[in-house]
Amino acid sequence: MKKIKICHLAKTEGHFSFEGALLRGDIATAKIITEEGARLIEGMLVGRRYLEAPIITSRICGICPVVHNLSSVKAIEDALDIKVDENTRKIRKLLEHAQIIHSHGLHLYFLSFPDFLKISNTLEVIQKTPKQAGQSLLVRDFGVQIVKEFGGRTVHVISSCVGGFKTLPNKKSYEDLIKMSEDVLRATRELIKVFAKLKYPKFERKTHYSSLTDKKEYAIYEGKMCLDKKSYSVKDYMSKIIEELDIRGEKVKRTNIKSKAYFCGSLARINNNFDKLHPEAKKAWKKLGVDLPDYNSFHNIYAQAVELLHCVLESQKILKELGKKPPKANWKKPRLKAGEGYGAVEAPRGTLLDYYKLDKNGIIRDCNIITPTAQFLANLEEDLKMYLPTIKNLSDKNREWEIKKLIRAYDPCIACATH
Amino acid sequence: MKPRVAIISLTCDEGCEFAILDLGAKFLELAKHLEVKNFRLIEEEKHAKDERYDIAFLEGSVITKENLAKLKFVRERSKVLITLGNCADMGGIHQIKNWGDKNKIAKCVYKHPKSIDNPEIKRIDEIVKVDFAIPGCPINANDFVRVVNNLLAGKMLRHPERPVCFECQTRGYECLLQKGEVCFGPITSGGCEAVCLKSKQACWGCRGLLNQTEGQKESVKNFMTFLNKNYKKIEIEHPVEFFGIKKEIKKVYEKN
Repeated sequence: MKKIKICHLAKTEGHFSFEGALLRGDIATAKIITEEGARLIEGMLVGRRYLEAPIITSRICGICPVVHNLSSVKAIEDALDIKVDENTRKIRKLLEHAQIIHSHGLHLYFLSFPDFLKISNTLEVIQKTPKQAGQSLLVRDFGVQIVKEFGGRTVHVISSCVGGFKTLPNKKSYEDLIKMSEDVLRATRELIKVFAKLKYPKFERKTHYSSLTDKKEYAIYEGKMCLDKKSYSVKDYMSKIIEELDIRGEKVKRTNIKSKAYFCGSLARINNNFDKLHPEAKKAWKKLGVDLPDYNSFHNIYAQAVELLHCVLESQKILKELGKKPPKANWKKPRLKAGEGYGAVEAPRGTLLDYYKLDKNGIIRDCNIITPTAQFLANLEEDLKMYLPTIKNLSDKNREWEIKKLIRAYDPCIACATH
Repeated sequence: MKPRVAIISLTCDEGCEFAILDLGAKFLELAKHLEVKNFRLIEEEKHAKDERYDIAFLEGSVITKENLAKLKFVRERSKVLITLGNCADMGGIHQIKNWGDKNKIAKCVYKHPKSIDNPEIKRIDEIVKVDFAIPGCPINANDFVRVVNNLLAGKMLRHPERPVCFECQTRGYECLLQKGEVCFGPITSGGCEAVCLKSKQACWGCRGLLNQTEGQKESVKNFMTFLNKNYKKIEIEHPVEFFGIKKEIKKVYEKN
């Protein structure tokens, strides 16, 4: 038996280690071990006022605070029977796109791309490929600037609350962002060529793909839950379909569906919702030359690149549409009542699900947050078990690169998963 | 010689590190003047056991035993230790549980809460010596730039001694206190450019109380008396618990 251990895996969000072993034949074990402390977010939410929830949950994660804010906002609005207007929904979608742009923008070039060059320091990669570095910085900055203008700042958005937005930007902000979007689109088109040409390892393991889905659009902010083309309400999915594993000593509650691991994230969204992608993004995906569903988890990297293009195009569209007559903030203090609510949005790494139960005074009496990484961790471990035997003859160093490449292809966020 | 820098996180959301990364090209420009030796978001090199740093930036809280070991390790190996953000500075949202029953809180999350580390959350300066704190949740990334530039010039930054209120009113934002909301802007240390007030979110004190001179202590007492007269307990207690100014306020206003 050969034991493989990678301590303190870097260039991901949150701290964790990998432990695996090659047993006889083609049998392997693989486990991701979180090194984050449990912050007990749901526990601290119980007994607090509903309005504090999105402010606390956005602090679960520094890279995707927008989606944590929106998911809890949606679940609480569901509990309070609040329907927000069309413009508010559009701006939330814009924020979702922006979140995906800056998260994918960071992960693609700064975290995953160096694995393909086998360089461990990203600053070195930046020196070697200054053109792509500049393009990535520009694209990422577009997402960051949208979040700043519409959310109030770059990390931990402020203006987005239960009931809508407390403040919104003026026409000048729209004009600046639209102007910026032209250069960003050009840079994205260049970048995607780099990711189309990367040599992704040959790997395939059939699994299940979970994401939001919607009849009208590429679902990121609303829609039903979808598993292998079958759809469910968010409420049923969270309360009946997904099974959370609460095991002694495990800080991350991994999830299963019918005792099976499943994938969520960019590849799941493309597998489930390909026909709703922007035509240009569809065309870009086809460059990979694989049939759907695509069972190669390494392709999650290219799926992110394709989504990057989709999100830049969609953001530009929303900015142009709303920029003609910028909507005014129309947040009103919500009317309180007792109730339960569910919310789901697509985080960069997969579907984020929130549940809240409120009493008649708006105090949180129960809640649950299921993050994307907690959902796909079991699937990643299954992939690693299958991948390890195929790389057993590599040198220790190269084998370690391959393991890290697969782990980072999932873009895990262990801080989210542990919360 | 360029100063050797580490940017380290304990348990947290790493939001302050992202606030730094969100500087984009500005951060890369700054990094040219530094030897960024240990920053796990951009490198994964093997770090020697005796690696030393001129400046270590540290964010997050001590929750696990490993967090504590890492904190001590970083402190021993760094000439200057600077905390990043509210978690390290005041315990962050993690210390909310300190004001309740932490075992009950853990039970809301896990079936087997005793198998999980669940300590009372401390400020980093209650555990090791801290040379300087960049406050805020998250930090104002411009503060990070200013601190680095000052250190490069051999100086330590001084925080402005003015309340959030000052920064809010000079920018012409709507006063939420006058509108009837509980806002801790009058007694909270500024430097955030009143970013929350810009988005009509009241200040809940993430940067801590203003330096406590005798005059300041008096104004904290007066302000808390005013709030207690006019608002419900929950409207005052929840915001002060949120980022941890409750602890500071208690020191000067025992009645609370």
